[in-house]
Amino acid sequence: MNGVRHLFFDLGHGFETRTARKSGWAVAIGALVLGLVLWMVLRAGLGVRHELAQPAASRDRPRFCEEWGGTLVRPARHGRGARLLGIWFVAGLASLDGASHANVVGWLASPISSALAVLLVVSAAYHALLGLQVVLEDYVADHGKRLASLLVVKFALVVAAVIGVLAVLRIAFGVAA
Amino acid sequence: MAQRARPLSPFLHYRWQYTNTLSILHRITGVLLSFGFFMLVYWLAAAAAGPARYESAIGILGSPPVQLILFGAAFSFCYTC
Repeated sequence: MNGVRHLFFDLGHGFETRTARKSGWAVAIGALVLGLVLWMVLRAGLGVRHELAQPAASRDRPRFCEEWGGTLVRPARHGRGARLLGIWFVAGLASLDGASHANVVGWLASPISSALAVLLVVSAAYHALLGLQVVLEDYVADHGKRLASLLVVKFALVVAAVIGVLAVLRIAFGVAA
Repeated sequence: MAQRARPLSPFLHYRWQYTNTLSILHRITGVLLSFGFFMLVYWLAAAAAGPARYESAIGILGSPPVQLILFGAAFSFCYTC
């Protein structure tokens, strides 16, 4: 949802402080509600039958924006492909009549589905790699530990991406029957 | 000699406002989605390994701790999209 919000920013809409604040809160709260719904759908698909919550706060100090100007309109600059493919995947999964092995393999075996699934795995891995790299660079102060954690994360993501692509190819070529 | 004040982290220095919440949520949800990515790959690999392996993977994916992560990933997915 924040990605869609940023698409509107890209088009030049919604920059007024009031609007941006409203859309920001709407995105955070809407995502929690939609996330619950999506989770229920996924659970139903997997044949599973649990709950959570969250808050925020403020004080009278100078505002971050007052000193840092427009530099805050920064995230969501990449990863749009991963988002769209993610929506395709979730919608496809939700439209299956239960996520049984036969249904899943039948769905992913079609040429378009397997192509999109490969793209999803690759773009999600790439997006995760860029994101986790920034987080680690910001929060791991020690140089050696930072280097080590980056190596581990990158390696894990690349291995996972290769496994994911090979899995989709196996399904596409009918090896998974 | 007067001790010079050390610079403070932004969150100690500035008044909290909605952009901070959204920014940190973007990070948290991104990290959660990375876990979701590994779950996706696990699920795909299980599907590729055949029906028996798939069934046992569904059992693991359906267990409460994994479901908690799945909820985090589902929320993150909706937030970040």
